[in-house]
Amino acid sequence: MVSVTAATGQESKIVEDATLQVLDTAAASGITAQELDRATRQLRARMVFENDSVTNLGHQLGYFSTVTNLDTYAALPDRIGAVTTDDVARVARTYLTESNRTVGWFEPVLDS
Amino acid sequence: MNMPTSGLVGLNPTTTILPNGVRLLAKQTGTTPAVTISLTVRAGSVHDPLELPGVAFLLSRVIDRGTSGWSADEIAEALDIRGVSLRVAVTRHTLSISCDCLAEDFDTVLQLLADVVRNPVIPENELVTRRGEVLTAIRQDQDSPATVAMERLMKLLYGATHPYGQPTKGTPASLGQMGRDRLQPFHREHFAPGGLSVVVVGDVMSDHVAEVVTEAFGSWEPRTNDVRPPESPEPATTRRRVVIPMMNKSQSDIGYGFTTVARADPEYYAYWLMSNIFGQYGMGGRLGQSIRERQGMAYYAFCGFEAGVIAGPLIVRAGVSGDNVDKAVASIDAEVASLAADGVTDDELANSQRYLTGSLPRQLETNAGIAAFLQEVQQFDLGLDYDLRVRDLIDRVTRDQVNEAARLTLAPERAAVVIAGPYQDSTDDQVG
Repeated sequence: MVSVTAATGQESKIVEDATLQVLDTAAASGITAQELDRATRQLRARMVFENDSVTNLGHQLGYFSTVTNLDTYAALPDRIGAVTTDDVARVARTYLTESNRTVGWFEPVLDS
Repeated sequence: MNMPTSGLVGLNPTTTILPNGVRLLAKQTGTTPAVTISLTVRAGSVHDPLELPGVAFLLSRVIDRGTSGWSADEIAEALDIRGVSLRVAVTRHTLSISCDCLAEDFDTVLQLLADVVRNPVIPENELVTRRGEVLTAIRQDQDSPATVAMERLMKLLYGATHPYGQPTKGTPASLGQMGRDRLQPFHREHFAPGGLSVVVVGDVMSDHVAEVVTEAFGSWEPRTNDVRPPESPEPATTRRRVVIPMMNKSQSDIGYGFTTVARADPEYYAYWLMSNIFGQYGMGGRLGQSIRERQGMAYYAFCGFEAGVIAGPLIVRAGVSGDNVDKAVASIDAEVASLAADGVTDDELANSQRYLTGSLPRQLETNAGIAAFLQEVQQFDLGLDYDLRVRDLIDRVTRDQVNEAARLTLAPERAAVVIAGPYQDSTDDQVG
Protein backbone atom coordinates (compact mmCIF):
# COMPACT_ATOMS: atom_id res chain seq x y z
CA MET A 1 0.00 0.00 0.00
CA VAL A 2 1.24 3.46 -0.86
CA SER A 3 -0.04 6.31 1.30
CA VAL A 4 0.46 10.00 0.56
CA THR A 5 -0.71 13.04 2.52
CA ALA A 6 -1.31 16.15 0.40
CA ALA A 7 0.12 19.43 1.65
CA THR A 8 -2.39 22.16 2.43
CA GLY A 9 -3.75 23.60 -0.81
CA GLN A 10 -2.56 20.74 -3.02
CA GLU A 11 -5.22 19.00 -5.08
CA SER A 12 -5.52 15.28 -4.47
CA LYS A 13 -5.54 14.59 -8.23
CA ILE A 14 -2.12 16.17 -8.71
CA VAL A 15 -0.69 14.20 -5.80
CA GLU A 16 -2.23 10.98 -7.13
CA ASP A 17 -0.82 11.56 -10.62
CA ALA A 18 2.67 12.17 -9.23
CA THR A 19 2.44 9.01 -7.13
CA LEU A 20 1.21 6.89 -10.03
CA GLN A 21 4.02 8.19 -12.18
CA VAL A 22 6.55 6.79 -9.71
CA LEU A 23 4.79 3.42 -9.72
CA ASP A 24 4.49 3.40 -13.51
CA THR A 25 8.20 4.17 -13.87
CA ALA A 26 9.03 1.20 -11.64
CA ALA A 27 6.69 -1.02 -13.66
CA ALA A 28 8.13 0.15 -16.98
CA SER A 29 11.84 0.37 -16.18
CA GLY A 30 12.39 -1.61 -12.98
CA ILE A 31 14.96 -0.35 -10.47
CA THR A 32 18.71 0.26 -10.61
CA ALA A 33 21.36 -2.00 -9.11
CA GLN A 34 22.14 0.77 -6.63
CA GLU A 35 18.52 0.93 -5.49
CA LEU A 36 18.44 -2.84 -5.08
CA ASP A 37 21.65 -2.76 -3.04
CA ARG A 38 20.22 -0.09 -0.75
CA ALA A 39 16.94 -1.96 -0.23
CA THR A 40 18.83 -5.19 0.49
CA ARG A 41 21.01 -3.51 3.12
CA GLN A 42 17.94 -1.86 4.67
CA LEU A 43 16.08 -5.15 4.94
CA ARG A 44 19.09 -6.91 6.46
CA ALA A 45 19.45 -4.13 9.05
CA ARG A 46 15.73 -4.27 9.76
CA MET A 47 15.90 -7.98 10.44
CA VAL A 48 18.59 -7.33 13.03
CA PHE A 49 16.57 -4.51 14.64
CA GLU A 50 13.42 -6.64 14.72
CA ASN A 51 15.11 -9.48 16.59
CA ASP A 52 16.27 -7.38 19.53
CA SER A 53 13.95 -8.69 22.24
CA VAL A 54 12.05 -11.79 23.23
CA THR A 55 8.82 -9.93 22.46
CA ASN A 56 9.91 -9.06 18.93
CA LEU A 57 11.33 -12.52 18.36
CA GLY A 58 7.99 -13.94 19.48
CA HIS A 59 6.21 -11.70 16.97
CA GLN A 60 8.49 -12.83 14.17
CA LEU A 61 8.10 -16.52 14.95
CA GLY A 62 4.32 -16.17 15.34
CA TYR A 63 3.98 -14.17 12.13
CA PHE A 64 6.00 -16.52 9.98
CA SER A 65 4.47 -19.70 11.37
CA THR A 66 1.02 -18.19 10.65
CA VAL A 67 1.50 -16.89 7.11
CA THR A 68 4.07 -19.44 5.89
CA ASN A 69 6.51 -21.48 7.99
CA LEU A 70 9.58 -21.07 10.13
CA ASP A 71 11.91 -22.31 7.38
CA THR A 72 11.03 -19.17 5.43
CA TYR A 73 12.05 -17.07 8.40
CA ALA A 74 15.40 -18.82 8.71
CA ALA A 75 16.03 -18.50 4.97
CA LEU A 76 15.10 -14.80 4.72
CA PRO A 77 18.64 -13.33 4.62
CA ASP A 78 19.66 -15.68 1.79
CA ARG A 79 16.42 -15.16 -0.09
CA ILE A 80 16.72 -11.39 0.10
CA GLY A 81 20.36 -11.58 -1.02
CA ALA A 82 19.36 -13.66 -4.05
CA VAL A 83 16.89 -11.11 -5.48
CA THR A 84 18.05 -9.52 -8.77
CA THR A 85 17.00 -6.31 -10.51
CA ASP A 86 15.30 -8.52 -13.12
CA ASP A 87 13.22 -10.14 -10.37
CA VAL A 88 12.09 -6.74 -9.09
CA ALA A 89 11.31 -5.53 -12.62
CA ARG A 90 9.24 -8.64 -13.31
CA VAL A 91 7.26 -8.29 -10.07
CA ALA A 92 6.70 -4.57 -10.63
CA ARG A 93 5.55 -5.21 -14.21
CA THR A 94 3.18 -7.95 -13.05
CA TYR A 95 1.55 -6.29 -10.06
CA LEU A 96 1.89 -2.49 -10.37
CA THR A 97 -0.74 -2.34 -13.10
CA GLU A 98 -3.77 -0.15 -13.51
CA SER A 99 -6.18 -3.11 -13.50
CA ASN A 100 -4.70 -4.31 -10.21
CA ARG A 101 -4.99 -0.96 -8.47
CA THR A 102 -7.52 0.47 -6.03
CA VAL A 103 -7.18 4.17 -5.22
CA GLY A 104 -9.04 5.91 -2.41
CA TRP A 105 -9.07 9.54 -1.39
CA PHE A 106 -9.83 10.51 2.15
CA GLU A 107 -10.79 14.17 2.15
CA PRO A 108 -12.02 16.39 4.99
CA VAL A 109 -15.61 17.61 5.14
CA LEU A 110 -15.26 21.37 5.14
CA ASP A 111 -17.35 23.37 7.59
CA SER A 112 -19.78 25.54 5.66
CA MET B 1 5.91 -11.30 44.71
CA ASN B 2 8.53 -8.59 45.07
CA MET B 3 11.53 -9.16 42.86
CA PRO B 4 14.73 -9.69 44.85
CA THR B 5 17.12 -6.85 44.20
CA SER B 6 20.12 -8.04 46.21
CA GLY B 7 22.65 -9.81 44.04
CA LEU B 8 21.31 -8.30 40.81
CA VAL B 9 23.92 -6.53 38.74
CA GLY B 10 21.52 -4.16 37.05
CA LEU B 11 22.29 -2.05 34.02
CA ASN B 12 25.42 -0.58 35.58
CA PRO B 13 26.08 1.85 32.68
CA THR B 14 29.48 3.47 32.17
CA THR B 15 29.39 7.20 32.70
CA THR B 16 31.73 9.75 31.14
CA ILE B 17 31.65 13.53 31.30
CA LEU B 18 33.70 15.30 28.64
CA PRO B 19 35.66 18.44 29.68
CA ASN B 20 33.15 20.60 27.75
CA GLY B 21 30.22 19.20 29.74
CA VAL B 22 28.80 16.56 27.36
CA ARG B 23 27.44 13.70 29.49
CA LEU B 24 27.68 10.14 28.17
CA LEU B 25 26.08 6.96 29.45
CA ALA B 26 27.09 3.77 27.65
CA LYS B 27 25.74 0.29 28.17
CA GLN B 28 27.08 -2.69 26.28
CA THR B 29 24.56 -5.37 25.34
CA GLY B 30 25.00 -8.40 23.13
CA THR B 31 21.51 -9.49 22.13
CA THR B 32 21.90 -8.40 18.52
CA PRO B 33 24.73 -6.78 16.50
CA ALA B 34 22.96 -3.42 16.77
CA VAL B 35 23.31 -0.15 18.67
CA THR B 36 20.85 2.52 19.77
CA ILE B 37 22.21 6.06 19.81
CA SER B 38 20.20 8.69 21.68
CA LEU B 39 21.17 12.37 21.83
CA THR B 40 19.05 14.65 24.00
CA VAL B 41 19.50 18.40 24.18
CA ARG B 42 17.79 20.76 26.62
CA ALA B 43 16.07 22.58 23.77
CA GLY B 44 12.38 21.72 24.08
CA SER B 45 9.35 23.81 23.37
CA VAL B 46 9.44 25.65 26.73
CA HIS B 47 12.32 27.59 25.19
CA ASP B 48 10.18 28.87 22.30
CA PRO B 49 9.75 32.64 22.39
CA LEU B 50 6.29 33.24 23.86
CA GLU B 51 5.21 35.18 20.78
CA LEU B 52 6.53 32.48 18.46
CA PRO B 53 5.48 28.97 19.55
CA GLY B 54 6.77 26.09 17.43
CA VAL B 55 10.42 27.10 16.87
CA ALA B 56 11.85 23.99 18.59
CA PHE B 57 9.43 21.77 16.68
CA LEU B 58 10.19 23.25 13.26
CA LEU B 59 13.92 23.07 14.01
CA SER B 60 13.47 19.36 14.82
CA ARG B 61 11.88 18.85 11.39
CA VAL B 62 14.68 20.54 9.47
CA ILE B 63 17.76 19.87 11.61
CA ASP B 64 18.80 16.79 9.61
CA ARG B 65 18.38 18.51 6.24
CA GLY B 66 21.97 19.51 5.73
CA THR B 67 25.02 20.39 7.83
CA SER B 68 28.17 22.33 7.10
CA GLY B 69 29.78 19.01 6.13
CA TRP B 70 26.93 17.06 4.53
CA SER B 71 24.10 18.03 2.17
CA ALA B 72 20.55 16.92 2.92
CA ASP B 73 20.74 14.29 0.20
CA GLU B 74 24.09 12.99 1.43
CA ILE B 75 22.74 12.59 4.96
CA ALA B 76 19.61 10.84 3.71
CA GLU B 77 21.69 8.55 1.51
CA ALA B 78 24.23 7.75 4.25
CA LEU B 79 21.45 6.77 6.66
CA ASP B 80 19.24 5.09 4.07
CA ILE B 81 21.94 2.76 2.81
CA ARG B 82 22.54 1.58 6.40
CA GLY B 83 18.84 1.01 7.07
CA VAL B 84 18.83 3.79 9.66
CA SER B 85 15.75 5.92 10.36
CA LEU B 86 16.27 8.97 12.53
CA ARG B 87 13.71 9.62 15.24
CA VAL B 88 13.58 13.30 16.09
CA ALA B 89 11.24 14.26 18.91
CA VAL B 90 10.45 17.42 20.82
CA THR B 91 9.02 17.44 24.31
CA ARG B 92 8.40 20.44 26.58
CA HIS B 93 12.00 20.37 27.80
CA THR B 94 14.08 18.39 25.32
CA LEU B 95 14.81 17.89 21.66
CA SER B 96 16.10 14.40 21.01
CA ILE B 97 17.59 12.61 18.03
CA SER B 98 17.89 8.85 18.17
CA CYS B 99 18.26 5.86 15.91
CA ASP B 100 19.16 2.19 15.73
CA CYS B 101 22.09 1.15 13.56
CA LEU B 102 24.17 -1.95 12.98
CA ALA B 103 27.16 -2.18 15.31
CA GLU B 104 29.51 -2.03 12.31
CA ASP B 105 28.03 1.37 11.37
CA PHE B 106 28.21 2.91 14.85
CA ASP B 107 31.27 5.15 14.32
CA THR B 108 29.98 6.64 11.07
CA VAL B 109 26.42 7.16 12.28
CA LEU B 110 27.49 8.74 15.57
CA GLN B 111 29.79 11.18 13.71
CA LEU B 112 26.97 12.04 11.35
CA LEU B 113 24.49 12.65 14.18
CA ALA B 114 27.05 14.82 15.97
CA ASP B 115 27.34 16.96 12.85
CA VAL B 116 23.53 17.23 12.69
CA VAL B 117 23.39 18.38 16.31
CA ARG B 118 26.32 20.80 16.09
CA ASN B 119 26.26 22.21 12.55
CA PRO B 120 22.83 22.27 10.90
CA VAL B 121 22.67 24.80 8.07
CA ILE B 122 18.86 24.86 7.65
CA PRO B 123 18.75 25.42 3.86
CA GLU B 124 15.96 27.76 2.77
CA ASN B 125 14.38 25.29 0.32
CA GLU B 126 14.29 22.54 2.95
CA LEU B 127 12.82 24.97 5.47
CA VAL B 128 9.99 25.87 3.07
CA THR B 129 9.17 22.18 2.52
CA ARG B 130 9.25 21.27 6.20
CA ARG B 131 7.25 24.33 7.19
CA GLY B 132 4.58 23.20 4.75
CA GLU B 133 4.56 19.75 6.34
CA VAL B 134 4.22 21.18 9.83
CA LEU B 135 1.39 23.42 8.63
CA THR B 136 -0.40 20.35 7.27
CA ALA B 137 0.14 18.57 10.60
CA ILE B 138 -1.31 21.56 12.47
CA ARG B 139 -4.37 21.57 10.20
CA GLN B 140 -4.83 17.86 10.89
CA ASP B 141 -4.55 18.53 14.63
CA GLN B 142 -7.13 21.29 14.36
CA ASP B 143 -9.47 18.77 12.73
CA SER B 144 -9.01 16.19 15.50
CA PRO B 145 -11.31 16.58 18.54
CA ALA B 146 -8.84 14.66 20.73
CA THR B 147 -5.91 16.94 19.88
CA VAL B 148 -8.04 20.10 20.06
CA ALA B 149 -9.28 19.06 23.51
CA MET B 150 -5.76 18.29 24.80
CA GLU B 151 -4.20 21.54 23.58
CA ARG B 152 -7.03 23.58 25.06
CA LEU B 153 -6.83 21.66 28.33
CA MET B 154 -3.11 22.39 28.69
CA LYS B 155 -3.91 26.07 28.19
CA LEU B 156 -6.60 25.90 30.88
CA LEU B 157 -4.31 24.08 33.32
CA TYR B 158 -1.22 26.24 32.85
CA GLY B 159 -2.51 29.51 31.48
CA ALA B 160 -2.25 31.17 28.10
CA THR B 161 1.11 32.80 28.86
CA HIS B 162 2.79 29.72 30.38
CA PRO B 163 5.10 27.70 28.05
CA TYR B 164 3.11 24.53 28.87
CA GLY B 165 0.00 26.30 27.57
CA GLN B 166 1.49 26.76 24.10
CA PRO B 167 1.02 24.33 21.21
CA THR B 168 4.32 22.48 20.63
CA LYS B 169 3.93 22.56 16.85
CA GLY B 170 3.10 26.28 16.89
CA THR B 171 0.25 27.94 15.02
CA PRO B 172 -0.30 28.77 11.35
CA ALA B 173 0.43 32.40 12.23
CA SER B 174 3.65 31.71 14.13
CA LEU B 175 4.88 29.34 11.42
CA GLY B 176 4.39 32.07 8.85
CA GLN B 177 6.96 34.21 10.66
CA MET B 178 9.50 31.44 11.09
CA GLY B 179 12.52 31.82 8.86
CA ARG B 180 16.13 30.85 9.35
CA ASP B 181 16.54 34.12 11.23
CA ARG B 182 14.45 32.63 14.04
CA LEU B 183 15.71 29.03 13.94
CA GLN B 184 19.45 29.71 13.85
CA PRO B 185 19.53 31.90 16.99
CA PHE B 186 17.45 29.24 18.79
CA HIS B 187 20.00 26.61 17.81
CA ARG B 188 22.97 28.80 18.81
CA GLU B 189 21.46 29.57 22.20
CA HIS B 190 20.06 26.20 23.24
CA PHE B 191 22.34 23.61 21.65
CA ALA B 192 25.36 23.54 23.94
CA PRO B 193 27.64 20.73 25.14
CA GLY B 194 26.61 21.42 28.74
CA GLY B 195 23.01 20.58 27.82
CA LEU B 196 23.70 17.46 25.77
CA SER B 197 23.12 13.96 27.08
CA VAL B 198 24.43 11.09 24.93
CA VAL B 199 23.27 7.54 25.58
CA VAL B 200 24.64 4.58 23.62
CA VAL B 201 23.29 1.07 24.19
CA GLY B 202 24.27 -1.97 22.17
CA ASP B 203 26.92 -4.26 20.86
CA VAL B 204 29.87 -1.91 21.20
CA MET B 205 32.49 -1.66 23.96
CA SER B 206 32.00 1.24 26.36
CA ASP B 207 35.62 2.35 25.97
CA HIS B 208 35.19 2.55 22.24
CA VAL B 209 31.94 4.51 22.66
CA ALA B 210 33.75 7.04 24.85
CA GLU B 211 36.49 7.43 22.20
CA VAL B 212 34.05 7.99 19.35
CA VAL B 213 31.87 10.38 21.36
CA THR B 214 34.95 12.34 22.44
CA GLU B 215 36.09 12.58 18.84
CA ALA B 216 32.64 13.73 17.72
CA PHE B 217 31.85 16.22 20.49
CA GLY B 218 35.16 16.95 22.27
CA SER B 219 36.02 19.98 20.11
CA TRP B 220 32.67 21.66 20.81
CA GLU B 221 33.38 24.90 22.64
CA PRO B 222 32.38 24.55 26.33
CA ARG B 223 29.10 26.26 27.12
CA THR B 224 26.03 25.51 29.19
CA ASN B 225 22.45 26.35 28.40
CA ASP B 226 21.08 26.46 31.91
CA VAL B 227 17.78 28.17 31.62
CA ARG B 228 15.50 28.51 34.58
CA PRO B 229 12.50 26.23 34.04
CA PRO B 230 9.07 27.86 34.01
CA GLU B 231 7.31 28.18 37.33
CA SER B 232 4.93 25.44 38.44
CA PRO B 233 1.36 26.78 38.30
CA GLU B 234 -0.54 27.67 41.44
CA PRO B 235 -3.04 24.92 42.33
CA ALA B 236 -6.46 25.67 40.84
CA THR B 237 -9.22 26.94 43.10
CA THR B 238 -12.17 26.79 40.69
CA ARG B 239 -13.66 24.52 38.10
CA ARG B 240 -13.07 25.65 34.52
CA ARG B 241 -14.99 24.29 31.56
CA VAL B 242 -14.65 24.95 27.84
CA VAL B 243 -16.71 23.50 25.00
CA ILE B 244 -15.36 23.55 21.45
CA PRO B 245 -18.17 22.53 19.09
CA MET B 246 -17.00 20.47 16.08
CA MET B 247 -20.39 19.49 14.74
CA ASN B 248 -19.11 17.55 11.71
CA LYS B 249 -17.44 14.95 13.94
CA SER B 250 -18.93 11.66 15.06
CA GLN B 251 -17.24 11.52 18.46
CA SER B 252 -16.65 13.94 21.30
CA ASP B 253 -13.38 13.92 23.19
CA ILE B 254 -13.26 14.94 26.81
CA GLY B 255 -10.10 16.17 28.52
CA TYR B 256 -10.35 16.55 32.27
CA GLY B 257 -7.32 17.39 34.33
CA PHE B 258 -5.36 18.70 37.26
CA THR B 259 -1.77 19.75 37.83
CA THR B 260 0.17 17.48 40.18
CA VAL B 261 3.83 17.31 41.25
CA ALA B 262 7.27 17.49 39.66
CA ARG B 263 9.33 14.36 38.92
CA ALA B 264 11.73 15.27 41.72
CA ASP B 265 8.95 15.42 44.32
CA PRO B 266 9.39 12.69 46.98
CA GLU B 267 5.69 11.86 46.62
CA TYR B 268 6.08 11.17 42.89
CA TYR B 269 5.74 7.40 43.37
CA ALA B 270 2.50 7.80 45.34
CA TYR B 271 1.08 9.92 42.48
CA TRP B 272 2.25 7.39 39.93
CA LEU B 273 0.43 4.57 41.76
CA MET B 274 -2.64 6.73 42.36
CA SER B 275 -2.96 7.51 38.65
CA ASN B 276 -2.36 3.87 37.73
CA ILE B 277 -5.16 2.71 40.02
CA PHE B 278 -7.40 5.55 38.89
CA GLY B 279 -7.11 5.29 35.16
CA GLN B 280 -4.56 2.78 33.87
CA TYR B 281 -4.44 -0.59 35.63
CA GLY B 282 -6.00 -3.34 33.53
CA MET B 283 -8.34 -1.69 31.06
CA GLY B 284 -8.09 1.91 32.23
CA GLY B 285 -8.28 1.41 36.00
CA ARG B 286 -11.37 2.54 37.87
CA LEU B 287 -12.29 4.97 35.09
CA GLY B 288 -12.20 2.31 32.41
CA GLN B 289 -14.16 -0.08 34.60
CA SER B 290 -16.86 2.42 35.41
CA ILE B 291 -17.27 4.44 32.24
CA ARG B 292 -16.31 2.01 29.54
CA GLU B 293 -16.98 -1.45 30.92
CA ARG B 294 -19.89 -1.04 33.36
CA GLN B 295 -21.79 1.82 31.80
CA GLY B 296 -20.63 1.21 28.22
CA MET B 297 -20.84 4.90 27.38
CA ALA B 298 -17.31 5.59 26.16
CA TYR B 299 -15.12 4.30 23.35
CA TYR B 300 -12.16 4.80 25.63
CA ALA B 301 -11.54 6.21 29.11
CA PHE B 302 -8.23 6.35 30.94
CA CYS B 303 -5.90 8.79 32.64
CA GLY B 304 -2.33 9.81 31.93
CA PHE B 305 0.17 11.23 34.41
CA GLU B 306 3.30 13.04 33.42
CA ALA B 307 5.47 14.52 36.15
CA GLY B 308 8.27 16.54 34.63
CA VAL B 309 10.73 19.29 35.41
CA ILE B 310 7.83 21.21 36.96
CA ALA B 311 4.45 20.05 38.27
CA GLY B 312 3.05 17.90 35.48
CA PRO B 313 -0.55 17.17 34.56
CA LEU B 314 -2.83 14.26 35.43
CA ILE B 315 -5.30 14.09 32.58
CA VAL B 316 -8.41 11.98 32.19
CA ARG B 317 -9.34 11.34 28.58
CA ALA B 318 -12.55 9.85 27.27
CA GLY B 319 -14.05 9.48 23.81
CA VAL B 320 -17.86 9.37 23.75
CA SER B 321 -20.76 9.97 21.38
CA GLY B 322 -22.26 13.47 21.52
CA ASP B 323 -25.28 12.11 23.45
CA ASN B 324 -23.15 10.71 26.25
CA VAL B 325 -20.97 13.75 27.02
CA ASP B 326 -22.91 14.95 30.06
CA LYS B 327 -23.24 11.47 31.53
CA ALA B 328 -19.54 10.74 30.96
CA VAL B 329 -18.42 13.99 32.62
CA ALA B 330 -20.74 13.25 35.56
CA SER B 331 -19.21 9.77 35.87
CA ILE B 332 -15.67 11.15 35.80
CA ASP B 333 -16.71 13.64 38.50
CA ALA B 334 -18.11 10.78 40.59
CA GLU B 335 -14.94 8.65 40.25
CA VAL B 336 -12.72 11.65 41.05
CA ALA B 337 -14.77 12.51 44.14
CA SER B 338 -14.91 8.90 45.29
CA LEU B 339 -11.14 8.34 45.06
CA ALA B 340 -10.45 11.60 46.88
CA ALA B 341 -12.95 10.80 49.65
CA ASP B 342 -12.52 7.04 50.14
CA GLY B 343 -9.05 6.35 48.79
CA VAL B 344 -7.84 3.08 47.34
CA THR B 345 -8.09 -0.48 48.66
CA ASP B 346 -5.17 -2.67 49.75
CA ASP B 347 -5.84 -4.93 46.77
CA GLU B 348 -5.80 -2.08 44.29
CA LEU B 349 -2.49 -0.81 45.64
CA ALA B 350 -0.90 -4.28 45.65
CA ASN B 351 -2.08 -4.96 42.09
CA SER B 352 -0.72 -1.69 40.74
CA GLN B 353 2.59 -2.13 42.58
CA ARG B 354 2.93 -5.59 41.07
CA TYR B 355 2.04 -4.26 37.62
CA LEU B 356 4.51 -1.35 37.70
CA THR B 357 7.42 -3.37 39.09
CA GLY B 358 6.59 -6.29 36.82
CA SER B 359 6.55 -4.17 33.67
CA LEU B 360 10.03 -2.76 34.31
CA PRO B 361 11.95 -5.69 32.82
CA ARG B 362 9.92 -5.39 29.62
CA GLN B 363 10.77 -1.71 29.42
CA LEU B 364 14.45 -2.71 29.51
CA GLU B 365 14.13 -5.46 26.92
CA THR B 366 15.46 -3.62 23.88
CA ASN B 367 18.43 -1.31 23.30
CA ALA B 368 16.01 1.52 22.55
CA GLY B 369 14.07 0.81 25.75
CA ILE B 370 17.24 0.87 27.85
CA ALA B 371 18.40 4.07 26.12
CA ALA B 372 15.08 5.81 26.88
CA PHE B 373 15.33 4.67 30.50
CA LEU B 374 18.91 5.96 30.82
CA GLN B 375 17.97 9.30 29.27
CA GLU B 376 15.33 9.68 31.98
CA VAL B 377 17.96 8.78 34.59
CA GLN B 378 20.21 11.53 33.20
CA GLN B 379 17.47 14.13 32.83
CA PHE B 380 16.13 13.75 36.34
CA ASP B 381 19.40 12.79 38.02
CA LEU B 382 17.94 9.52 39.32
CA GLY B 383 21.27 7.76 39.93
CA LEU B 384 23.09 5.07 37.98
CA ASP B 385 21.56 2.31 40.14
CA TYR B 386 18.02 3.59 39.62
CA ASP B 387 16.96 0.40 37.80
CA LEU B 388 17.79 -1.53 40.97
CA ARG B 389 16.16 0.94 43.36
CA VAL B 390 12.96 1.77 41.52
CA ARG B 391 11.18 -1.47 42.49
CA ASP B 392 11.72 -0.68 46.13
CA LEU B 393 10.63 2.93 45.67
CA ILE B 394 7.34 1.66 44.24
CA ASP B 395 6.84 -1.11 46.79
CA ARG B 396 7.47 1.16 49.75
CA VAL B 397 4.55 3.46 48.93
CA THR B 398 1.77 3.09 51.50
CA ARG B 399 -1.99 3.35 51.10
CA ASP B 400 -1.95 6.52 53.19
CA GLN B 401 0.48 8.17 50.77
CA VAL B 402 -1.64 7.26 47.74
CA ASN B 403 -4.80 8.47 49.47
CA GLU B 404 -3.12 11.73 50.41
CA ALA B 405 -2.05 12.26 46.78
CA ALA B 406 -5.65 11.66 45.68
CA ARG B 407 -7.05 13.96 48.37
CA LEU B 408 -4.66 16.79 47.45
CA THR B 409 -5.16 16.52 43.70
CA LEU B 410 -8.58 15.17 42.79
CA ALA B 411 -11.60 17.44 43.25
CA PRO B 412 -14.39 18.01 40.70
CA GLU B 413 -14.70 21.61 41.89
CA ARG B 414 -11.07 22.28 40.90
CA ALA B 415 -11.02 20.35 37.63
CA ALA B 416 -10.30 21.80 34.21
CA VAL B 417 -12.71 20.30 31.68
CA VAL B 418 -12.63 20.57 27.88
CA ILE B 419 -15.11 18.99 25.48
CA ALA B 420 -14.43 19.01 21.74
CA GLY B 421 -16.76 17.39 19.23
CA PRO B 422 -20.43 17.28 18.16
CA TYR B 423 -21.69 18.84 21.37
CA GLN B 424 -22.99 22.22 22.43
CA ASP B 425 -24.49 23.50 25.61
CA SER B 426 -25.71 26.83 26.79
CA THR B 427 -24.14 26.79 30.24
CA ASP B 428 -20.55 27.19 29.12
CA ASP B 429 -18.31 29.63 30.85
CA GLN B 430 -16.66 30.25 27.55
CA VAL B 431 -16.28 28.75 24.11
CA GLY B 432 -13.12 28.25 22.05
